[in-house]
Amino acid sequence: MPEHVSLTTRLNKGYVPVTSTPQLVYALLTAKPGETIARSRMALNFGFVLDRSGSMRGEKIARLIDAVRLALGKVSTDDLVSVTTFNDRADVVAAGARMSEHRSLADQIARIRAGGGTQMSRGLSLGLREVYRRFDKNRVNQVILLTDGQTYGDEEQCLRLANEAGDHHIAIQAFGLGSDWNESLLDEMARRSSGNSDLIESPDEIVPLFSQTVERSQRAIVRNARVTLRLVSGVVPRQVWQVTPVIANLGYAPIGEHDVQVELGELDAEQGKSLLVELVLPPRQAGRFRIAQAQLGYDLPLEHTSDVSGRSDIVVDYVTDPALVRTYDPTLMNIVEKVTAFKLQTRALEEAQQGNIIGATQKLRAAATRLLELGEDDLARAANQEADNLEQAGQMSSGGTKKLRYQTRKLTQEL
Amino acid sequence: MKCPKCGNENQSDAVFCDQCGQRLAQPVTPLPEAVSADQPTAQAGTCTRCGGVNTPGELFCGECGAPLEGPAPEAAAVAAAPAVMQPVVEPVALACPRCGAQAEPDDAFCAKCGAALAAASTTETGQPTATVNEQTAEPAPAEPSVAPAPVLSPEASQSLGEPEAAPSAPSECPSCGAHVAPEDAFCDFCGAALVGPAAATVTSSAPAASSATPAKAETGMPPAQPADLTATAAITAPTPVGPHLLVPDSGATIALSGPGEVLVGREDPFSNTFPDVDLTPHGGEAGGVSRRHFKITVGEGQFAIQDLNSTNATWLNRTRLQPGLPVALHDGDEIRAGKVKLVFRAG
Repeated sequence: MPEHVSLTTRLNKGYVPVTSTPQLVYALLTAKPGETIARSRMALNFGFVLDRSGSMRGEKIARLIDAVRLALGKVSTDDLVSVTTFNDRADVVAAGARMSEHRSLADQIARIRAGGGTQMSRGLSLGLREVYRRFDKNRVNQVILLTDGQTYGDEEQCLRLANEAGDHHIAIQAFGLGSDWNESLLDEMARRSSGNSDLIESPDEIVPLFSQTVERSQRAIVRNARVTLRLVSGVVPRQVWQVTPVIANLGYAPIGEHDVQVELGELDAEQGKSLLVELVLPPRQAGRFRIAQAQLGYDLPLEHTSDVSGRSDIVVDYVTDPALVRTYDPTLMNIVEKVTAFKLQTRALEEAQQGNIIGATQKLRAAATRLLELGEDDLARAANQEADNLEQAGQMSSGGTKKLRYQTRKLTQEL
Repeated sequence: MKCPKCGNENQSDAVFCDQCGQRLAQPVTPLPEAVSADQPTAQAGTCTRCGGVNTPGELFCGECGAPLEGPAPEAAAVAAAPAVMQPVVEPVALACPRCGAQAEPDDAFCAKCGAALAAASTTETGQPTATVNEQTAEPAPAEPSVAPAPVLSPEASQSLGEPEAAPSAPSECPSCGAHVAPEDAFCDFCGAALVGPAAATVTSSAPAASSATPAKAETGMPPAQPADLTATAAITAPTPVGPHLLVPDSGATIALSGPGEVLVGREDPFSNTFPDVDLTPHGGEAGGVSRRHFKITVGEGQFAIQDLNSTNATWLNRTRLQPGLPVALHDGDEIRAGKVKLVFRAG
């Protein structure tokens, strides 16, 4: 019987030199649902939590209404949906109910008007309650949050609600529209609730992003995926990166003397997830060595079952032939370069935040070089522009920071 | 090796502490049989642009992101390994001798259990290739191409004779001497391949030929610095050293912050109940734990427990507690909240 989810491994090079010092290899691990389950779709329990403060007036609120209506066109009649809006107060526009039970939902959404201030925690609290009220562990329980401005004074409350959401397995998909919103807050809320955060640069992008979010949630057919790496003596993991669908530093947890585990969470039916594992190898004599075994464990909520993949060997040859050790896998080279660009911009943003202007500028210039090499001209320009801003004004622009932060995560999406 | 965090004595080669999961600050040491001192030092990935020192094998400088060319060792110091021509073998599909799982024709190891398949699953075909085999004495011209297995002419293949029979797998690892099961494809301890020529026919792990990173002249490079292994972002779950609750069923430990009162119960955000210790992940809901079940008072070496009028009661050493009445708590005491069992440890 074919596996529900497969795990494949490949190295940046199959041959490493016989030397007296440790050396690094990169392993790409890809977990992907098999064809038999990839066609299945999850039922949804979605709560839209939408900012309708004064700054949303005009095109923003119009596109937002379009986006919600279009996204709702993609859900099935059995899916649960609620709509909550907030400015400095919150209103449940449509309480959580099956799509088939909603009456005049489109009209209710069309009547949303912008005005007032921004107190996100009020909307989030009511929206979460609607999702929680109809919570069903066999559905994707999620809040889609959109805001275009800073929430004032209730950041701590927002984080507390995100914690509660995470504890109750309700993910917050947080979208920030434009350049005047708090990315640290939205990132942290998404992280605490096991959701995602993203930038919507212009109102036109709301419509496709909402639709993609609905479709992606329907495809989240694998849960609690985790990779166990059984390392042989002397092999040490250095860093573990998620590379698809977006780049992120995953970290890992030791679970035994030589075993580490990496949490992947949900897997997309079509895309799965890929990891880049940096492994430091000990010196060895010439010969073939298995450096690690990888195994994937996961839950299939639609089938009410859990399973594990077969063990996948990661094998290298220690050789003394210099010609062999200079052969690289070009696909992995490309992935490592993208992760490097991501690392550089992440460190640049951190150093800028800490006030290390010189260090941040250098990292941004280096990131720009890598991005140019990768053909990402737009992002390279943004990195250079922000380096200029740092040098001249001592700070980065809000829009440029967000663009770098969110777009470099997606460098691997064309793979 | 002693864990610097909890003091647990671990095996000398342990990477993480058995007890608390702490990464042990141990340099990656070569296995006893690893390599002789006259082997070349791996070229440190020293960045020509910023001078940053990187781990050998690193593709891009960690400091400035510049590509690190030539992560290979000193080429001249190593004689090319002798090569020998061997017939290409075409594997046939078979079931794994260990677990019975169906294997694909190309599989060298069972996808399910990892047992070696290659030795038993090959049949000869007429297509010869060159493969590296250190056991042969017959040298062949070293092929500088990136393709490791050039196809030879039919004439060349005729002198090769029959393929070597796969040797039986050893009972101890030839590399490190550890005991291995006969069907193991690799040593569990050091990872060395245990099936010789059969394993050498597996080339799927070799990367595709690429000239993406041309090697550059490798002279004057300083020796590699050991990688900073403590800098990794390991997520550890340390055993609490202060007062804590032990969940015998799962082995989990829950730290009790103090001094002061620690509320234990079941989190319920929608009634705004957030106990200091949430027993939901430990079966609190099914076990009948109340949202505010009991509290522990942590003082200077003194501890007390008090039931908070919970629905399903709190039991201390199998004695039901009177609601609202504090009782002294000692190291090793068994607590039961509803059906959830806990053991109190003072430190």
